Amino acid sequence: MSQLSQLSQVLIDEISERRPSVDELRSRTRRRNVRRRSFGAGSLALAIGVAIVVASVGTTSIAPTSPNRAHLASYFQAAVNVSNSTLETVGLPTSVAVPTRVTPTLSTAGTNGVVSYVGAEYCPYCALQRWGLLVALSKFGTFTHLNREIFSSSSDAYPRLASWSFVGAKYTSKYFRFEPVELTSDKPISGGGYAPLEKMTDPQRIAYDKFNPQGELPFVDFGNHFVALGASSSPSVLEGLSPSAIGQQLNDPKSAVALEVDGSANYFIASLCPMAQTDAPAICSSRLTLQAMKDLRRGEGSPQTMSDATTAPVEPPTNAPLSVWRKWSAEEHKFLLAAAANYRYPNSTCTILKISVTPNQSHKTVLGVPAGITRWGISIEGKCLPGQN
Amino acid sequence: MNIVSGTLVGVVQKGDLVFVESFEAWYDREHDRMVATLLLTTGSPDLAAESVDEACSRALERWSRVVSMESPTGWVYRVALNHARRIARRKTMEERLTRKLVPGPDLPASASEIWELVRGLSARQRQVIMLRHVADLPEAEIAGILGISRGTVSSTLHDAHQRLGRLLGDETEF
Repeated sequence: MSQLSQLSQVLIDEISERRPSVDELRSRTRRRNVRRRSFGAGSLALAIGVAIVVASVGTTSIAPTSPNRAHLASYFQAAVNVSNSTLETVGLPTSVAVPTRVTPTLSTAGTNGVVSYVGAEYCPYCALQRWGLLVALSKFGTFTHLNREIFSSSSDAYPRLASWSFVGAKYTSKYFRFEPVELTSDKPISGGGYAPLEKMTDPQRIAYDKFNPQGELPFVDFGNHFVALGASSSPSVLEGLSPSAIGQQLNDPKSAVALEVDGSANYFIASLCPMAQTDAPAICSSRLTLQAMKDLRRGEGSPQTMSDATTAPVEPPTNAPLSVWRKWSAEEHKFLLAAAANYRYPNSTCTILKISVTPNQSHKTVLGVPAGITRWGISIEGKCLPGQN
Repeated sequence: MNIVSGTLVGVVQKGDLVFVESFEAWYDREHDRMVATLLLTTGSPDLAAESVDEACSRALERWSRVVSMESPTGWVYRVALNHARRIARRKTMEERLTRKLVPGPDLPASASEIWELVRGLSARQRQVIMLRHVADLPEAEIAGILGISRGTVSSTLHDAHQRLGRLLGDETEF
């Protein structure tokens, strides 16, 4: 840095104390425009705007920890290594529930690009679902710290099913984030129920309430496009089996475990493939996955359907009739609603806190848009890990 | 459609929704340096603040277009310098008509030292020096802002460096 640059840095630091806010700049713009109008000056271009506030939030609680390089237990290895040919052989059994198609909305945008699992350690249905998730998620990323072995409750239906907890588990994928939550442990507490363990994040809670109004466990949300409510097949298939035996059967396409667990995993894989925006794994283009995707698309949509407009409407010429402009405005609104509801922050370390589509109307022609025609903007508020925005 | 605060803005460009730097993020990063540059160019804190605020408010007004320019900061500097020139011209005219005495620059202490150093430079040399060393802009961008060739920027910088070196009586690096 030159001597002049060094000297000026002190001055720059002093100036920051007197910096006008953006609102003050807007007021200044308004005053200028009023002045211009009073002098009958030519047209002015009033930008129409709304806000994205992506605040870098310095927090240590979400800083990544160093990965556990320890080998996974042999039965986990067996699950993560279920071959594509085994999955092909198992196919799409009719006994397996197909995840439900849902439509993302502005309120659920916080979990776009996130795979959420909400379960509990005591829950036998969760015990089954974890195995299928492990098989499917392993096709898109890597698990570590997967070492908390558990059994489902001995006093519930399907007692003492062998499984493990997602507590402490780490998963890395270049396609999406996996956010598992185990709400309670498998330890009963006096007065009934089980000891609380983890809590959903706010965005997870919003998606959970919206897509799972009955509060079923487990709840798996594949980026707000598909959800699996409850177990995808009967947990009875795990009864009496040790973790090793389950791991072994997962690789035997003729076994009952493979039929139910690998069969569920095939639908999970098809639900995950749309989240792999680029460079999707080869399994996403397999005949089986394409067939599973067809089944998924036939699933029920959310009753509160939104536009699936994917192309922004082309602006008409300024002198087009107002009816044409009104139609354009309605189409732009639809497009931005769909864009905002599906928007996924490109950086997976960032999370959307709030997203909305906001109207803006001017009483005069602005940037070629006639007076009285509503233009729309998107406002996004989010947070990123420090230095990641 | 444009979006005017925060780190990223969504704009529809040729039918696609793309995300670019927001006005707020840019403003937060560039404002103070721009005021310092203008202050040391004009010698007037009020004129510098007024010019930068005016230029920034104009940028805010049309941010979707400004942000897609090759150098949004360069555009704002150009608007600010033009605005400062207009005000200074009007002020000079008023002073002539009313025969007012021209007050000396009322600079903050941190600027006085630099101002004493550069006040002897020509207005053009001051502009180039400040845009290069305070605004930290490359020569090509300075040429665009001032509407002169890059060669002229280089030679003006060279002359200014030599003059400043002579004033200090050494080979100080600027």
